[in-house]
Amino acid sequence: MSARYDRAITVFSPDGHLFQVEYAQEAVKKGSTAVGVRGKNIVVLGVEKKAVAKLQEDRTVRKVALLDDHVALAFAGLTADARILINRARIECQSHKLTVEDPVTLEYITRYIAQLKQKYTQSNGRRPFGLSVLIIGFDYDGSPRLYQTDPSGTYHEWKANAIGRSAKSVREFLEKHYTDEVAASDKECIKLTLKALLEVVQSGGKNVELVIMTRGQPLKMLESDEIDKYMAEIEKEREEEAEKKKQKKQ
Amino acid sequence: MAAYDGEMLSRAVDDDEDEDENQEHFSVRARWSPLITAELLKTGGKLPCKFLIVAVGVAASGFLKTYIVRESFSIIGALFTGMKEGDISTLTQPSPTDKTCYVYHSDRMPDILAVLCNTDVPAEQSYSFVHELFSTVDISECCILILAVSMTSDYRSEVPVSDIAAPFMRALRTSKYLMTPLCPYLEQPNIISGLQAQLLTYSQLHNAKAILYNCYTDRIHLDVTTMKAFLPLLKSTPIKDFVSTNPNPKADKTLLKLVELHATQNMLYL
Repeated sequence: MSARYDRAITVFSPDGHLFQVEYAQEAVKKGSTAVGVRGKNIVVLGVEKKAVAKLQEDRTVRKVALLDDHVALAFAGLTADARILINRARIECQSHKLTVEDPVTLEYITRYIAQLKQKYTQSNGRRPFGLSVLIIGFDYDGSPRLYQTDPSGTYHEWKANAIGRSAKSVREFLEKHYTDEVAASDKECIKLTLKALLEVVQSGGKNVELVIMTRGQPLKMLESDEIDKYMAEIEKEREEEAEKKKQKKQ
Repeated sequence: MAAYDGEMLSRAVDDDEDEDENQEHFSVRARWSPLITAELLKTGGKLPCKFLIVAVGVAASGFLKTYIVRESFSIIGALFTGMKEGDISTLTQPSPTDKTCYVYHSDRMPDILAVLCNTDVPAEQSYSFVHELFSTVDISECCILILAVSMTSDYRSEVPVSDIAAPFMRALRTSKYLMTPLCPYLEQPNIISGLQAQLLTYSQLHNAKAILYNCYTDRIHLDVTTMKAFLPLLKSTPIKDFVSTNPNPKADKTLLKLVELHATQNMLYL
């Protein structure tokens, strides 16, 4: 029982919970799923597209945002909170460049975002950001990075991770299927991201958005026919596997 | 300061009372098809019923509509819960705003009834809803199955709710219902309320066999997984005896259509 320990964000419950922060983590689950996979030479972000109203311009509904030429993020949770967070992060990227004449490292910008989020869990009259974020990109030494932050301000680096709706089951899927061989191949990384998303997206490939970043290249959004190609390959692989299983049984 | 606070408080209470007085409760009205009305007049009694399924809420009725109440069922009556300002009347249940609850019966076995409530019946109407329904339906020999959906945020347990895989089901039964339910019983201190509680209470008081399967979901909008959480019920007695052995081939499509119909284009969460 929360027994009113959830009224103020700065008050712990006797058993050590900060309820408002936990509720913010629930808000993240209300957002659609986003998956990130880090390969040797590529980082992939896949998000579930939400159905928009008939007359709405769907290009204004974006779960993925570019922070700098070499940094992008996908979020899950409160849309309006995300806009504010993205703005702050973009400004920090530029200001860092101006001050030290180097672009931000992925860890730096992740720490900045996490710090901002943490501030909102430790002062009165505020509420935490209802957001989890996956941050992808390449450091200037050329190493691919994938970071994740949550509403409490915690951040970690991952090889592959998911946030949003059914993140737990997608993470389990990634844990099962992420191998060094997959990481070595750009194509396999994209396919793994797509497969992981399809675990939870009910209406198939048309509701999926994929963005990739390869070393030295700007962020690229895959066109729907490219996604369809990968979908067809996945479908084929599945059929082949089913066939193999059948033969084994016989 | 204290006096000031006290004054403010008492004013607030007064305001609330005023609002309560102004609210009128519409009591539920039942209307039966001419065939049923004639039959009731002839027998002078109640509608015989062996098995009654009540689905409360859009997810439960979506499941029922997709897997059980299909071609071989027809509408025999409706329970009207009234209209409020701002309600849109289309008089077709496919519309997400329609609040009418329809009563179906199986064409092959007319003593199998199903009640589908597409929207949640307000708590203040559940008393009249249950009395209106059971004043016509004979439940003395009846087995009542109630399906309902609640949010996991209302679920209390020792483990953090975020660690429990949703959706999951919990059961509650009346003392006359002796079979073992398909899922664990609802643990204390959890309670149920609303129409499902009213139905169960009425059944307990009138010594009827009744069981409630309450599904706890973490989704604010209707989705396929929540509706599919009721699937194990299809293999339970007595449902498996009258549900056609071949499952609905279009089930997945029907469920997706329902989700689309009830999808609110809400961009609050992305």
